Amino acid sequence: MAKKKQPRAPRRKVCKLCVDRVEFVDYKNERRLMRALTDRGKIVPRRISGNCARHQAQITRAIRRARILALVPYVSDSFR
Amino acid sequence: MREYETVFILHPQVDDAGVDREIENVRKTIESGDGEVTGVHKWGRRRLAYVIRKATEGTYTLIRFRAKPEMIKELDRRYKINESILRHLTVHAVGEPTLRDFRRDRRGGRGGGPPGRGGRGRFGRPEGEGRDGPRPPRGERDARDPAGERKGDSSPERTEKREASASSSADEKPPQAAPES
Repeated sequence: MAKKKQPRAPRRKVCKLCVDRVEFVDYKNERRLMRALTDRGKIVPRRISGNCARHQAQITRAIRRARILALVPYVSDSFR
Repeated sequence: MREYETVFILHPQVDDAGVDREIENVRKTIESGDGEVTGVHKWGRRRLAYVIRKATEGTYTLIRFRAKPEMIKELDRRYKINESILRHLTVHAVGEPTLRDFRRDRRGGRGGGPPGRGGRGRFGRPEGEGRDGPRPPRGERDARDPAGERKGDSSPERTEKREASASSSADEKPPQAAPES
């Protein structure tokens, strides 16, 4: 039996924050913000995370603020 | 007048009395500009995400206040002059003030293990979870039962196709071979 390429059904991404009904992303909530960062400390792009524009913008703004206050890294420790 | 919130990080060498003094300083600055302090929240000590002026820790304080926009400039100026302030941030306040106590957080993180370590270990995982994990399906399962059906249907179709292609190829080859020979 030859292996056949089975076409994967495209999974539609859903904005996690919309699912959770998040109204406002707080820059002080570093736990949540950490989840929106890659292991290098970069902000996960919308194309990957599937977040909606509104929430992605909120996340980005919050992360930038949190970085100023050293709540969230610019670059992760392990890559410095 | 608008409501703002300002956070500043004090150098770890500043003691509790020093922290209170700095809070008083900020309060005076705000009140001198005809503003009004509506809340002071001491977050306590926290590890910094990166080293600032050779310090790896800092004492965080959040102050909520109402003031005229011009006042922010003056507050900012004073922050910059103050050597014991590592970082500061002043933004428009949104919603209720978030009460954070890092001391509690840290204890939970160290004692519990999972919460603290989870923060780091979680780094890459959530993306993965988002992609193939239980999350999106959970949210959509109700709306997307058809997708499940589709999957179920597709496998029989595929086998049919396989059979079809196999039979067709089988059919094709002999005829091709026959003319050649």
